[in-house]
Amino acid sequence: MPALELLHVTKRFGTKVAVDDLSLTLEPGSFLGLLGRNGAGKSTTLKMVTGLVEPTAGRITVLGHDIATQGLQARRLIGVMPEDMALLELLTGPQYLRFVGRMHGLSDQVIDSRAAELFDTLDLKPGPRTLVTDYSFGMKKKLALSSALLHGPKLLFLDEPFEGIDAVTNRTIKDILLALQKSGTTVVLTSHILEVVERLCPQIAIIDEGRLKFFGTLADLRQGSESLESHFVGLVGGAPKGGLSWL
Amino acid sequence: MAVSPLRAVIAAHVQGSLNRMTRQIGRFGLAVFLVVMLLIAVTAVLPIVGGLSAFGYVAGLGLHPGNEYALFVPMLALFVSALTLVGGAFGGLTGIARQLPWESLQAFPVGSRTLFAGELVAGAFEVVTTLELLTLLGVCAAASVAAPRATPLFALLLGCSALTLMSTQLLVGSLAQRLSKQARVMFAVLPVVAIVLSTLLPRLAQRLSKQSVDSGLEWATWLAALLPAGQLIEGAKALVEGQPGRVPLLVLPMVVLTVALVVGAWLAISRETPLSTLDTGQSARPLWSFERPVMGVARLQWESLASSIAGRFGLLMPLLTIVLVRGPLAEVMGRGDWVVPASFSYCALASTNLLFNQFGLDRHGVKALFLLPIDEVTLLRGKLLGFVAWQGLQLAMLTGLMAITGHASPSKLLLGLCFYGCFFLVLSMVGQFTSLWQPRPMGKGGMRGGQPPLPVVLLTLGTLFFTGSGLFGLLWVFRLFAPGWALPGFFALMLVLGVVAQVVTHANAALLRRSREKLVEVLGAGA
Repeated sequence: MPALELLHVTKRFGTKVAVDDLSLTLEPGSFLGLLGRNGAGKSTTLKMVTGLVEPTAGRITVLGHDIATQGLQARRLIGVMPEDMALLELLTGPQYLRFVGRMHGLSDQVIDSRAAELFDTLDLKPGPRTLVTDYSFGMKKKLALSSALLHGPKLLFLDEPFEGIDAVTNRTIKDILLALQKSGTTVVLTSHILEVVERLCPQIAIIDEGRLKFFGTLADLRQGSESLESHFVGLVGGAPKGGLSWL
Repeated sequence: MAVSPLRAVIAAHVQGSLNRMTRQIGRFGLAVFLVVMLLIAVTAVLPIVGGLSAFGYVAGLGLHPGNEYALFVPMLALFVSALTLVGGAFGGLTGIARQLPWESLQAFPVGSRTLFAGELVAGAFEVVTTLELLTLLGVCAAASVAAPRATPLFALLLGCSALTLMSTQLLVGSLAQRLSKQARVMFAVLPVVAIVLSTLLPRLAQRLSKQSVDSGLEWATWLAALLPAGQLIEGAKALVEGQPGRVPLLVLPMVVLTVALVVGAWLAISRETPLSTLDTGQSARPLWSFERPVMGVARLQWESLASSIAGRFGLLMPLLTIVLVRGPLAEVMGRGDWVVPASFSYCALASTNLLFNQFGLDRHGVKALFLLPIDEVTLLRGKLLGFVAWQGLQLAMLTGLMAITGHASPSKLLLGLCFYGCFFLVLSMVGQFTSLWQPRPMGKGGMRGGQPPLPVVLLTLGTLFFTGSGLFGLLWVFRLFAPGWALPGFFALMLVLGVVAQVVTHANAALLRRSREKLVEVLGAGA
């Protein structure tokens, strides 16, 4: 049973086609880097596979559950860190994690013990009464990641997880993600930092203007010594435009 | 042991509300607030609830055969119906019913029915709704004491009314939000609905009341008998009279209405589309298309208002004004001199929340505003101009609707415009100050999160009270001593207020210079 399967998925917003006939399959334990330029359709794809946005056409199954008809069962098995993080900003960090854990059916005892471990591992040390709205950007990222990991998901979707994160935590997160993959969890992440994707993700999918331009292993894509960046720029047709006329 | 998702949602909502209040007014402020609320409860709420409970008790006595208080029975039905439906509509239109961040919650493995139940219950914790529910509880409990045999039906009436009230809040709020998103549809539908509701319905009611009934009591009895709550109370009367066989049929309409409203609200909310996923069909337009920076800031403010639900909701106000204020006022006071100014004043209040938090919709974009090479006066004037343009659109709609449906004369409409102008200028001056004193981020995609902090609420109420009293007092003086001078007088007042607004803008600009850091911190943090 594939961890994630998209069959001819299309999403239109009015006249604009955000995702166009996208098909791909991921086996359990995969680690996929989803790449694309700004507005290429990556976030819309993540929103569709997590059930936040309904596809206009096509079918999505998550760990054997059709997201359209069995969304609830699918959402029990996935962890999501959306681009905008979607945190309840009027709660404190521990209150928020308790809320997330309760929504996933965990007992308060389990939630508190896991939250303490997550805070310690990710070096998240807010004041006891500090609200999420007063967290720095990096702290919010860490909290969003904690909430995605809290219930032990089988499939993890992370939208730009390394943006705004310090170097030490960056390394910690990479280690956590690799350990998760080894334990059989499937990880899908988007990132504009191609060096990170190159180092972490054995599988790559490149989307441009809503269409899948490449899906395969990093080795297939490179077929030589060129960097991922060169291949990516070549595939999405984004040739460097040269200097600015007045500088 | 795991906590149920519904309890988790409610707990998070209550925690969030308490955290917000503590953040806004501090722990000491929260303690003071609780004491003040307790005093208000003792001095105002308890007498209201107590008085209405006494009314419920008398109505309960009226259920007994041959009792002299029988005339209170239809009054009870009318009261319960009005409280649930009008209160629910008010709660929905003002946005107070929506408490939970629905879009954030959809990512969790919880069914939409559980989320809906959470939203429904969370709505009961809003002050106005709590007061309405307490009133219903008092009335029904007192009626049960007066007529113990009817207790099961009063319990049913309480349950159905509470559900009806909270569902109506959600249903009306969702429909209003949906309508706000469809600006083109709204512009097409508004005039038609306004004409139908404000002209045809009062005439129909007038004809019915003339033909079918002779007195106010008969009219009330006739109307109460048509209402589901009236039929349920008729069922209670049947129980008291020892005729239980009639009860099921009389209970059915109220149960059906409640179920229909709950299901309707659930369907409406579960099918809501986030604003961010709507295609406006327009490509991005340059915002700095005017030569002067002040016009650029005004254009930016216009775009913020036009793309936000709170801003678009303002476009519904002309319709609401026509239906709620001009219609009933015209019925009560005839086509008198007070109706037009009152309607324009009511409409002017629509944007108070936005005017009192002028940087709220900018959120983290406020940093970009402050990086522009413009001074603080230009920034405040630009924002004011953006509001003037947006309010102008509402004003044009209201004037048109007033002219079509109310046949108001040009001089009355001009007086109304001056009234509106005076109100707007006062609100914008105070609003500039509160926007810098107590800024808070506001979401563009919904009505949630727009609750102002308590100090701003009090200042808003004070400003509205004193401005309204002053303007209507002045109008009364004109009517009494120099009716012909009312229009030129208010026009002159508007010009004076315009000059004062210029001076105040300079003072507020100095405050803005000192508040930049606070605005960036508070508004940027919520991004």
